[in-house]
Amino acid sequence: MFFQDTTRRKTLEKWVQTYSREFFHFALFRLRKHEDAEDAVQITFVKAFRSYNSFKIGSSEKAWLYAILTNTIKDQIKLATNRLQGSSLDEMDLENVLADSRDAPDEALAKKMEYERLASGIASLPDHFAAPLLMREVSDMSYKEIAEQLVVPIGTVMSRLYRARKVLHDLMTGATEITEINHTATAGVKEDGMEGAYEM
Amino acid sequence: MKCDQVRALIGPATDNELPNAEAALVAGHISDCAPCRDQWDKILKVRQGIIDISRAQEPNAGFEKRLIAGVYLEERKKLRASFNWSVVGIAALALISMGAVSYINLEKSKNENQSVATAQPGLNKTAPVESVEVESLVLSVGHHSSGQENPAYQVQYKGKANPSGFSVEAGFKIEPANLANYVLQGSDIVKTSNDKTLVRMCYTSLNKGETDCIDCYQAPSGMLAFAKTSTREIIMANGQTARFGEVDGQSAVMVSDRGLDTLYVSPIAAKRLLHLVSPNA
Ligand SMILES: [Zn+2]
Ligand SMILES: [Zn+2]
Repeated sequence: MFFQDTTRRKTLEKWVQTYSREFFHFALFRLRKHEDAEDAVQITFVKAFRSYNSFKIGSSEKAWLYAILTNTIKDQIKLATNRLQGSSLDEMDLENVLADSRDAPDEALAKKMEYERLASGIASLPDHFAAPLLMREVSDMSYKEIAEQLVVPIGTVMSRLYRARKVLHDLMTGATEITEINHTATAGVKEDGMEGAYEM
Repeated sequence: MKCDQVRALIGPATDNELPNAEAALVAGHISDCAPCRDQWDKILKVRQGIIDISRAQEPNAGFEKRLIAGVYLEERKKLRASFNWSVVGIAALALISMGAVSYINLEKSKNENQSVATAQPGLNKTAPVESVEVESLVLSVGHHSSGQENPAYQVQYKGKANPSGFSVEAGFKIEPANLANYVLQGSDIVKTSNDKTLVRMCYTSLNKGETDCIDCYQAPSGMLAFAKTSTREIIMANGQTARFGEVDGQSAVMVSDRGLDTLYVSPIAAKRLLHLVSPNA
């Protein structure tokens, strides 16, 4: 029946070709598990396909799909209550990073540790920090796009990006521990953005 | 430009959010100022980490194909669910009273001889070999079907797991298909209203642009029977005999081997389907 609905079908194929890889990485950084990330992307496309008719032509398709994706990820995080306790970092196979590396063995090992800390740091960030960071670094969105997506001023996007990056860098280098993340990341955020120097 | 002013612009500069003139000022400053350059490097270090981690973590092969097929599977499940609610409840009594539960056997007797090579004709007189009609099955539960849901078939989704795992539940030993460049998308147990159990395995292509799945139905020998389709017996490249026909505008190939009927149905070209089912041995 709907298989004959070629416009819808073509649209789905276009969405999948354009966004599946980016969505996957976005989800993976939050959910850690390969399978969970694939599931999140699958659920996103199922929901999008179902509500295809409610999507307004002319509005941003990308923004609409991202809204579905981020909500799906939030739901999945809620479901997996033991996500943090259970994320023993082995879910992310970072061996490939090492295999490629031209660094000396001890440097490579140090880098691997840094990356493991970075990955678990991103997974542990509160959503309002993780979302703008991943939209910028994984989805290559502009500040304007991120601001519209999250319905916050551009200054807020900048301050959240700044905070997220600072915390993640400190985590990578061992200056902060994951347990401090929520505290550090949310402390002293200037939601209006640009005022004040951004000391990292 | 002073360090204070520069600090607030470093993030936007790394994100390509500054006008050229300002970006140039920031670049000029950090080439001379180590502390500001350090801030810049920190952002790039985090960014490089995210890029490297992403590169090491690609989706499994066939991801896009699986996504598309997954959406269609869900859609069919939803259609089925709404159909069950709206039609089955109201119509169930009527169907039973009209004897529609035996619907799938309607055409059995007159066509059995031509369709099921392994059926034992001697049984027909006393206890008819109860079969499942390929046409109504495919029309109702096939992933590319153009037909209405038929309440005579109940589909239970089993997921992506290896289908041999639920052989016990199915009541016969399931042999997953081996189709080059196709992967299992999902398996289902199909229960019929005349108490038959069969299995449907859906395979999707790993080749880009090929979105048509191949549905592979499996049942104990003699259970699956073409009723209306004019089929012909063919000898495939691997020497096996098979029945070939067209069901609901799709190619259908049935192989009966070692106690199993395996029926492959797909809109892909007949020649290609035959080649997949029977690669040159
Ligand atoms: Zn400076
Ligand atoms: Zn299928």
